[in-house]
Amino acid sequence: MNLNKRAPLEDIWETYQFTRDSFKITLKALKQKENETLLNKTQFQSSSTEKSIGQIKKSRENSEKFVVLALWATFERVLIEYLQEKGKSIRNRKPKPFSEKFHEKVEAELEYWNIEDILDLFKSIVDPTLIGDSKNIKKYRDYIAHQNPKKVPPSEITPVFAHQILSEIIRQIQNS
Amino acid sequence: MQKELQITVEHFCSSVDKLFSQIHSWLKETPLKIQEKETKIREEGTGYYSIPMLFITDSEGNEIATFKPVGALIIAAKGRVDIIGPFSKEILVYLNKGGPTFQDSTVVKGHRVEKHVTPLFQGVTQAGWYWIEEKKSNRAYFLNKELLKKLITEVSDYEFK
Repeated sequence: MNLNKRAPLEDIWETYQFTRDSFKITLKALKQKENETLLNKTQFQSSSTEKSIGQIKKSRENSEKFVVLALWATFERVLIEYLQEKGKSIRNRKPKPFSEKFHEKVEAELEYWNIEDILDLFKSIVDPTLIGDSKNIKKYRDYIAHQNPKKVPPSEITPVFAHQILSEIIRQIQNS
Repeated sequence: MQKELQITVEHFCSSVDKLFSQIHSWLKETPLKIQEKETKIREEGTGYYSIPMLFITDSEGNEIATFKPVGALIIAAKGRVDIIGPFSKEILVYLNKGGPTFQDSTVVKGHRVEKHVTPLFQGVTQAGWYWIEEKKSNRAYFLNKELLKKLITEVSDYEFK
């Protein structure tokens, strides 16, 4: 496994930055008449300015939530692939026929392990405080993903914090 | 509300009050108009609580920036206020001196040794409100008059003379 999987978090983070800037540009195009032609052949052309601005602001709020979902999904994949990579050495143990079957089962079932249990495995090589923070990020991620209006939101995560915390965990795993 | 949670919320409300007083002071010599209105926030375990929001307009009544408290229960921070303008949004977070930290280890000859405490963000030299530069995710800037004006310009294109 290529543990230079920090790159996937950076791709997501960069995309988020460009998305934020794109919203900014679109809002300026909507508010500044001299830039009206930029809206040609877009949904904004047929929509009122007020409605379009409202939609952009709503999209901006959503993008802050979706970036946390995207960062988490990639982060979780990195952890699972790390475990799968570490598990490969089981195959070579004697007796080999048994070890190969054993490895197959572990690798297949890894995908279904509880992520909180997986995170706990990493406490031996990653600062437990960061692991604790990542569990809170997961809680927020679940709230965003499930959108239950009856539930009070859990602790809010600022996107840059999610990026920093998850990136640092990956870095500590990489350096272990 | 549990006592510890209550203390956290009270600290956040007090920090927001101080922030808004500071903003009034920093902007008093500008043509900008500032209004405060009360809003309510509900967080996990707190129930609803009241907190002010700040609305800044120019001399013609155009929206410049809204300072909206988000909450006290912020992962790795002690509070958050969003600065929302007509074109974009920036985020302020309250951090204690040093900010959030983690333990890191240096690997020497294949063994993990020498644990040391590392801050998650550089630049958190005192407790207060900070802006994290998202393009350089590990850098925090303490909010002062110059940074406040820069952020107001960032979200609104308002030019301070």
